Parts: sequence; C-alpha cells; structure tokens
Amino acid sequence: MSLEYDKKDCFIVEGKLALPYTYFPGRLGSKFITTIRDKKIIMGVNCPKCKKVYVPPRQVCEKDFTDIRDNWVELQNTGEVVNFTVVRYDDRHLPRKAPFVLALIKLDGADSPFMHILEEIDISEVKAGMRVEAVFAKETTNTILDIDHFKPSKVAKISMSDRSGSAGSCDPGVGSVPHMKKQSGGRGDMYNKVIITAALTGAATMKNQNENVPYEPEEFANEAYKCYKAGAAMVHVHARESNGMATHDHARIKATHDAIKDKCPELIVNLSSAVGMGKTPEQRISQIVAIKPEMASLNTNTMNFSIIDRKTGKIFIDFVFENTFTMLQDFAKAMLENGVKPEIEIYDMGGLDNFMLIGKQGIFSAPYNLNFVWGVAGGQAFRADAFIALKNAMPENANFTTCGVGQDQFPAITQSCLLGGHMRVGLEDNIRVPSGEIAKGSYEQVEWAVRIAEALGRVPATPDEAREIMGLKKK
Amino acid sequence: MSNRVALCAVAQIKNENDAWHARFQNMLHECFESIMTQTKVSFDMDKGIRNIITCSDDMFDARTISNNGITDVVGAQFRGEEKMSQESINGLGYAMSCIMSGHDDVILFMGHCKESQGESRRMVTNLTFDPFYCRPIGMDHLNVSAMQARAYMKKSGVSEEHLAKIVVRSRKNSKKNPNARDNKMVDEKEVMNSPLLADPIRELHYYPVTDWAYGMLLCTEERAREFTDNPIWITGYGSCMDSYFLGDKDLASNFSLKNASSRAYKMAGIKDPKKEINLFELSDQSAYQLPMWAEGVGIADEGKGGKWIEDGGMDKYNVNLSGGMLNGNPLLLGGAARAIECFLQLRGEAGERQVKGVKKALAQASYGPAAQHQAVVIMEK
Amino acid sequence: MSHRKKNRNVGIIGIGQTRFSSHREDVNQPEMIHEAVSAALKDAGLAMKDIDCIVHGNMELFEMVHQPDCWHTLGTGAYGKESFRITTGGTVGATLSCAADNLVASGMYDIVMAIGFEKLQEGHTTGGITNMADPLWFRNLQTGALTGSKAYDMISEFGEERAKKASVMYRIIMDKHAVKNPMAHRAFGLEFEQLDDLVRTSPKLVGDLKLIEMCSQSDGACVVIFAEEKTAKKISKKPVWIRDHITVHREETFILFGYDEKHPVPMTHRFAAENLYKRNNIKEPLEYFDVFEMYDPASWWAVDWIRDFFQLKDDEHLKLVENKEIMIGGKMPINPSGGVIASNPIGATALVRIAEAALQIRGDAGDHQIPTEVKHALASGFGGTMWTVLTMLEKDLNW
Ligand SMILES: [Zn+2]
Ligand SMILES: [Zn+2]
Repeated sequence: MSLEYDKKDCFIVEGKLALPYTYFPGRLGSKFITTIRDKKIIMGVNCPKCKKVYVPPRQVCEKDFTDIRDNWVELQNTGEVVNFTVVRYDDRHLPRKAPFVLALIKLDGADSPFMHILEEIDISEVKAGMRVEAVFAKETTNTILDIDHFKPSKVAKISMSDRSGSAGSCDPGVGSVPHMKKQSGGRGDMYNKVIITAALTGAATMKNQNENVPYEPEEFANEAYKCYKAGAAMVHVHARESNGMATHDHARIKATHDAIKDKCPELIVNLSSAVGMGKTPEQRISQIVAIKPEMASLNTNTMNFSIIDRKTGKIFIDFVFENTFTMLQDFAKAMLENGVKPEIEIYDMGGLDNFMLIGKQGIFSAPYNLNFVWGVAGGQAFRADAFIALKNAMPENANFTTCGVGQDQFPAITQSCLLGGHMRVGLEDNIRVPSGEIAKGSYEQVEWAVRIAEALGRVPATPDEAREIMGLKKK
Repeated sequence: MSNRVALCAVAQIKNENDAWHARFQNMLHECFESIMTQTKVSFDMDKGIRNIITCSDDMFDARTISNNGITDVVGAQFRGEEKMSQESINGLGYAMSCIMSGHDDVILFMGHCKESQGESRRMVTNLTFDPFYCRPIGMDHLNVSAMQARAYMKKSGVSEEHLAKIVVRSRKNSKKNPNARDNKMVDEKEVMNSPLLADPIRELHYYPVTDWAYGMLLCTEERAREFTDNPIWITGYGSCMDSYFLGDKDLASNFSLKNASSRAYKMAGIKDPKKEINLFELSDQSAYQLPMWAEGVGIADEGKGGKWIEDGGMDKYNVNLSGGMLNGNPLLLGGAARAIECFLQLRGEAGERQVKGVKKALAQASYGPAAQHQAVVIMEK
Repeated sequence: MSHRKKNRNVGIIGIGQTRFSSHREDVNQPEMIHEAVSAALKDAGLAMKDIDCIVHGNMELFEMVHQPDCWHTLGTGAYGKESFRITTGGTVGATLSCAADNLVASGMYDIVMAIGFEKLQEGHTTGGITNMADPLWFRNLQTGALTGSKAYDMISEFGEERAKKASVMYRIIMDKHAVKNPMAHRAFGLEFEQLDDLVRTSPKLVGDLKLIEMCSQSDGACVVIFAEEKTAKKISKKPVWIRDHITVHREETFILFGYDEKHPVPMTHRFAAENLYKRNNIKEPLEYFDVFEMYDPASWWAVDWIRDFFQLKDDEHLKLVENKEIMIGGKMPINPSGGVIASNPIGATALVRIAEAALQIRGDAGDHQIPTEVKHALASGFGGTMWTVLTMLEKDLNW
C-alpha cells in the first residue's frame, strides 16, 4: 500500500521543542567534574570484583552490581587512543565544526576507555595506539568539557604492574573536592618528563683523561649539539682556555656560551658559578651577572673539594671549596636580580639546610631546582637511603636532579629517575660509560640516560618542557 | 495453551523520504483501515481487540506522550493502549507475552515514525546520551556506530569493497520491494567515492532519513482462523542489553545479539540456525552491521564476516531481500519492517523477491548507541 | 472468547521505593533508580543475577533523554538481561505492572523487575505536559495538567459550600496519611479544624482548583519485582498476587471539549471498573476491597472519581469523604500512603500505587498500615486524556 494522497492545499506547521533542563550529575559526578576543574586530575572508580578501573565514574558496577562509589582512583592525564572517528558533518549538538576527531581514549591507570575530542593533530595522522594527553579547559562548563580536548603526547605508557600505587585515597565527605595524597616518588611522579642535563666540562677533567672534553667554544658547541640530539635539555658549562685551564674571563665564557646558543638555540645553558679552583667570589659571580645565562649553579656549603686516590686514599690535590653564607646570599641575590635561575648544588643534608635557612630571606624564586651531588672527595658518597632522605627533606615546590662523580654517576641518576627526579650526566662528573669504556663524549652518557628513562617508562623533556618544569623564562 | 502466537495480517505504507503531506495519524490510519479490511476484526469487549500496542518515539513526534495523539486512529477509544517506546521488535515480543499470558487473545500492534520531522536525526540521538560525560562532546548514533564499524571491520576482515557490495545489493533488492524507499541505484565505485560521514562510515553506508508506519494483528493459535486462512507463527523471542558506556564493552563482540538470538533459538527450539532458518532480515542501519549481525545470529563464523560476504553468504542465507534497513526504515521501526518482510516471505506473498520454500525466518533489530540492545524474533509457517 | 484466567499466577515478591522529594541533587538519574532497585532486591532477598527481565518506564520529554533505558542500565542492572521500555503517560507505572504481569504469566520470564522513575526537578514538567497537546489544535491553549473544570462540575451538582468542603476534607485526610508515610514528599500536618480556613484562604491555581489541592512535582523511583507462582512462593513469605488488570484509554480531542449535560461523556474510570468487576464477578466493590490506592492528581478529581471507581450513585462518594470513611480505619481507606497529592514522581507514581497496595496486603506498611486485615486491594493509574489502568491485588490465591 502506498500513500496516494492528494497533496494539494497541504501545509506545514513549524514547531520547536525547546525546554529548559537542569541535570544533576550527583555527588559522584560532581566530584569527578570538580576534580578535573579545580585540580586538573581525572579520576576513575575501581571495582574490586572485576578488578577494573572505570571512567567515567559510576556508583555501582554495571557488570556485578558492586557498590564502588567510594573507590576513587587517580588516573593520569595521558593515555592511548583505542578507537576513533572523524566527524565530517556539522550539527548543532556537536562541540566543534567538522571535521574533528572523536576518540576512545584509555587513560593510563584506567581499564575502560572513554570518549573525547582529539585535536592539535593532522586528522590523517590519527592512529589507534597513539599516545595522547588531556588539555584542560580555560573556562569551566562543569561538564566533561572541562577537559577541553586531548592532544598528541610523547609521554610513554608506564607499564609497571603496581596499580595500587595510583590509588589516591580521598575523603568521601559531602561534595568536597577530594584531597589527593601526594605520592612520594611513586608512579604518579614518574609520569613527569625527565630533564637530562649534560655537564660538558668540570673544573678538572682534561683531554688527557678523555680527549672529548671540549676546550674551544666551537668544541663546546658541537658537543652540546650532540647532547641535545641525544635527548639532553640543558648543558652545564665551565668554560676553558685553549690550554684547558678553567677560566673566569668574561669574553671567553661569553664566546663559549654564545657558540652553544648559536649552534643550538633551544638548549638551556647552565653556567658554573664555581668556575674552577682558587677563584674569588667576585670572579665567580661577576661572569654570571655579565652573561646572564638562563641558569647557573649555586653552591651551598664550604667543604673539602679534593682529588684523592680512591683505592689508596692518597691525597693528590687538597682544596677547600669556599661557599660561605654570605656568598650564598650574595650570589642568590645577584641571580635573582639578573633573572638567572639558580641550580642549588646540594652535597649533603647540611647544604640543603643552608639553602633553606638563607632562603628565609626570600631570595629564591619557586620552583626551586636542586641538584644532589654525590661522590665528591669531601662530600658524601652515593647511598640510596641518603638520596631518599634528601628527597624527603626538600621543601615544597622543588624539583630535583642528581649527579655523581665516577662510578656514582649512573646509580645516582637511575635512582633519581625512579623517584620522579631528573638526571645529570657528562664528562665533568665521569669520563666513562657504564660498560667501563671511555665515553665518546658527554652525548654518549646522555644516550645511556635516555635508555634508563625508557626502561623506567619516562620520556625526556624537550628544552621548552624543561623550562616549564624548572620555571625558566626563555631568553 | 500452545506457545504459538499467530500473526494474522500486516499493513504498511511505503517508506518515504519525507511524507510532509501526511501527519503520522494519517499514516497510521491507512494501516489501521487495511488491517480492519483484511481481518474483519472488531473491538468487541469480549471477542475483539481490547488491547493495542503501539510503537513510537516522543522525540521524533516532538510531543510528550505522543501516543496520546493516536488513540483514535489505532482504535483505542475505550480500549487499552500500551506504548513500547523502544525498537518495534520489542513491541512484538511484548505482544507475544500479552497473548501467551492469557490476558489478551487479540492484539493490534501499530507503529509510526517520521524521521523527517526533526531538524536532525543525529541531534535526536545525541539525547540518548547522559548530559555529563557523553552528550557535551557530541556523541550520536552515527559517530558511535563509526567506532563500532572500525572495531568490527578490523576484527572480521571487512573491507571498503565489501561494504560497497552490501550497499549495491541492498539498493538492487529494494527495487523489487514496492514498499521500499525509492533510492537511486548505485555501483560499487559510487559507494566507495561517496563522502565520508564519520570514518569509516560513508554517506551511502548509512540508512537514509525515512518516514513509515505499519500495523499487525496478532492472536492466539485458537482464534487465528477467524482472521486469516494463512497465519504465520511467532515462536521465538529473545533480547539483551549491553553496557552503556562505549568504553565498557567490546564494540565488536556482538555480546547482546549473541545472547538475544540464543534466547530466541531456545524458545523456538532451534538448534542450528544455518540449517533450520531459511530467511534472515537483519536491521543494518549501516552497511558494516549486515555481516556483523550475521555473525551475531550465527550464520557467519565469528571474525569471518569479510570472507562470508566474499563466499556469497548474503544470498546463500537469503539475507535482507527486502533491501534491509540500509535502504531506509525509520529508527525504532526496523524490527517491524523486518518482521513484516518475514511474514510476506513465509506467506509466499513477497512478489518478485519471493524465495521458494521459506519455512522459518528470523527478524532482528537493535536500538541504542552502538546497538546496545538487541532483539530477535523467530517466525514460522 | 472473553477474557480468561492467566496462564500462570503472578506474585509481587519485592518492593523498593526511594524517598520522594522535590530535589535530589545528590544523585543522577541511574543512581536514583539504583536506590529503589537495591531496596527491592533487598526486600525480595534476591541478587541482580536472579532477575530475568527489566521493564523500564518514564516520560522522555520530562527529562529530555532519548531511549533513557540505555544510560540507565548503569542503575537498573539491565546489563546482559532482557528488557522492555514503556511510556504511557501518567499511567506508565501501572502499565509497567501490567506488562510485568503479562511477561511473567506468559511463561517467557520467571522473574521480572518493573522500574518506574521520574526526576521532574531536572525538567520542565508543565512545559513537557503542554507539549502533549496537538501542535495544530491545542498546544497554544493548554496549561500543563491543570484544570479547574472538575471543580466547576461538582459545584454545579452539589452546591459551592459542600463541594469545596469535600475537596479540602479529602486533602486534609491525604495529608494525615502522608504524615504517617516516611517516603511521602509533602506532609504539612494539616488539621480538620483548618478546613474552613483553607477553603477560604488557600491560593487558587485555575478556577476553584487550589494550590494545596494539586499534586506535587517529585523526584523518585519505585521498583516492584514480580515472579511466577512457584518461584514467588519459594522466595517470598508473603507474595501478593496480581489478579487482573484493565487499561482503558480515550480519544484525545473531541471528548475533552465536548461537554454536554444531556449526553454526558462516558467516564473511562467507570467503564474500566465496570468491565473489571464484571469479568471478575465482583458485585459490590465497596464491600469487596479493603483498601484503594488511587492515582489522585488533585482532590477535586479524587472525590469525583471515587464515585466512578466504586460504581456509586448520587452523593455516596461525598458521604464517604465527609464521614472520613476513606481514612485509615474507615470503611474504605483510600491512599494510606498519602497518595499522589503527597508524592508525584510521574513515571513511578502509578507503580507506587501497586507497591503501596501490596504493602498493605503484606501488612508491611508501617505507620500507615490499616489496622484490619487487608485481603483485597485495588490500585489505579491515571494519565493522558483520562486514561485509566486498574489493578486488583489479592492476599490469597483463591479466586
Ligand atoms: Zn565489577
Ligand atoms: Zn660544574
């Protein structure tokens, strides 16, 4: 049967269904959304029965009807695209103009993927399996769009089996924003990118120990470039004369600094404010003020800084490295005034305390960037538990990296990486690679550091990402 | 009492792209009159229709409790009317229960939908989603189906070429169905070149906006001969609900259809659907769904949908000779359209598309995002 | 062939309700439903895995969710189960019960869970109901479910003073019941001494329909679990049996505005009751039933409908109200729960009538339990344009 109507004189009445609606996401949904809104943290709920973490949250597990409303789990803001489509039509219910990508994204720490918008990528490059990270909205809508969208990410998936490490405990009180317990070096910290620094020269390492130690500005530039290519975000530099001697000559230091910046403009250059043995406080700080690098080292205690035979204990060179409270204060003020971010060199717990004590003057700007130094003859040797003690004693809003002299180098940076900290390698500290062979350059140690990071599921930071982490303003 | 429920008569209007000239009441009334003429059924409180089941959707009708507007044209003046606001196939399942319970012995089952009335069918389906997590990011049935298409095509080796084949065949079959929506004939190249809507779904892979209405008369086995000489028996029904959140389920798993069909087979006593059922009508809203549902009801091997198409599975098992949902039926009415086609084939009234010797047929339909809910009806001669 | 006895007996074995309230910001829709689902499962001593089929019901446009059972699976427990979804306006709760009864009696399912809910606070109810009207004929005239015409009819028939007092008397009785029901949404603590005051001073909505006489707008859910006889007897100590149900609709347009004194419009309520009693051989419904849970959207209608439901003549229904015979302890207690005037989550409302009638038969209604034994109960649903659904519930399987 077909409609054989006489359609003459038929007309159409225009109508519209537009009624106001006010939806309540409930206590659970409110907590989920406000945590995204206020803390930029995405949470899921864990069903102990099916051993799965679900997102978006729900009061009861659909599969087994277990009440899971209080089993909050903090997820990472990164994840993997499981499935996607390109929406190529326009419609009023759509949040974007066509074409745009909707993707099913499995967040790190969750078992069920959820849908969101994927942007900041060429549509033809979207692939299942790609890594993405959440970009939070500037203005809240109190919906899932408080995550504005996801974008491609370089943060690798952490495949550690310890799920409990990510379970944030929280107060199930009425409508309150959950207080997330800060992880101490747990999986949560490991999602941060790792800044790798290459210390190209120290005050003492010479070409006769490793021929790849740079002396000339051009050598510095080439070595720095190789390190950058290998994954370093920053180089630490003590400039040298052509004969290899450490120098406080402003022109030479500036030439070295600028050669590096010319060759590799993105790289962060961190100049030493120790320079070398026997320099006066004035010589040490004036070059920093003159050149104004993005970062400079700042040492925290007066100590023996000697060269001792590790096997026999025989003294080759005995030297007192002078860093009085006054110097600490004056150097810090000078750096603050000149926009140079200090890297606080910590040789032991006392040094950390010195920094915090002088810091009461308000002469340091957050975030504070600490470097735990191990194995100086006169400082403490690397010990895993001492490392933990230093980390636990840090003030809030502090980053930490680490370096170790000689054989302490790789164990120290591995522990730092494991604890969510950063890593410094380079010929200043050690002339070899872990296999025992002479390093082909600082860059080869950088390559090793990258491998350690990879093994632990961490991704090296780009210089810009490192700037963001350490609070530097690019110059 | 026997478990057999009789389907005595069906009525439908032609599927149209935009029946702007007819209100849905007009469309239903056509079908109503046809059922009355075919069966001479009455509304006597003892012997006639006491209960009418309808299927419609308030969103597409843009009216709250829209069945309020059809009471007269379905004969519910001082009779009962119950609205299944779900896929029409579930209305068929419910009609079975009304009769098998003993509460009713004659049921009039009617449905309508004018997809053309709304500004956008996709906008309506966006409202299926919760207002917090899914609705704001623009999820609708189309873009969600696209996710399922990608997952399924990967799993079962279904290619663009296979999809094109399905579309071309659907259009060809629909030509032989006078009630099918009039669509342009296309070749495989045109399908593969048609614009992408939501990757990998192309415009020609997706069912077009359609207006339609239908009617059916069901009764007990004892009373069937009062209304027809040639009743068709509904012997099996099964349904199943899957998870709501897309990420909670394996989109390519056919979880709900496998459950729904095995429940229907159990009720109808069917052991091997490949051998026992002669005709299948599957609600393929998008081309990828045809092989996927074929796997779900057990006529294609799991994960082998692509090969099944290459091996001629669609014709071997008499799948969607009507043109299928892909040629155009409104949302929620696909199941009724499938059941009506099964009825016509079982009665030998399918005209040019008639298959010889159809003794048992299967109708399937789904609703909800990524076919969250599935239902299957088994019909026999 | 006329209406027959069902193929299998069906008993109610589990009941769950949320507390009814004007606002439930603390839960979303599936979460609110889940409260009632878990209460009903607990009442029945069942787990979700025991349920074969879910029947879900509410009105889409009240919350503007299309096919809401999909999302609500998170709270209904429908995952992996068979499911149906019904919308029949205000009667939907009653239709859920009819459907569950049919589905179990048919032998297709042994245990069926009926879920009615509404979260009216989220939507715009009056707008939603206005959208019910035909866009061509009436949409611009309708004002939600409000109407003062029944008051006009009763005043014409019984005089202004008597009619107005009866309506307010009914209202006070409902409030006295609601005070005893911890689930009720509105319970003011009205006293009979206030009757004259309320008649004079209570603000009016439309015509003589006063604000206080109109039903509330509530959020809430109700869940009832039905099982076939053997299962019901095994699971429940006190199954309540569904004896019969009848649904009567009426055409939308031409009757609504076609009032004519000489040719009074037949009432769906009277028609439904007449047919239901006839086929169940009930001669004197007022004597037969021990309690009536009525869908009373406003007190004027309620008073008038008592006459239809019990097949009464003249002013018999007014006397029942005036003599407080409809109170708990009276001859025909009506709505010991406080009724719809006290709580009205539309999609659940008519199912609450069934649930409350069943609780009375079980003797589990708590403070609002009728003191004498309840063997036979009647429940009604109302919606649309005078649609009605009547359900008979029994304590014993002996009819
Ligand atoms: Zn679970
Ligand atoms: Zn140094």
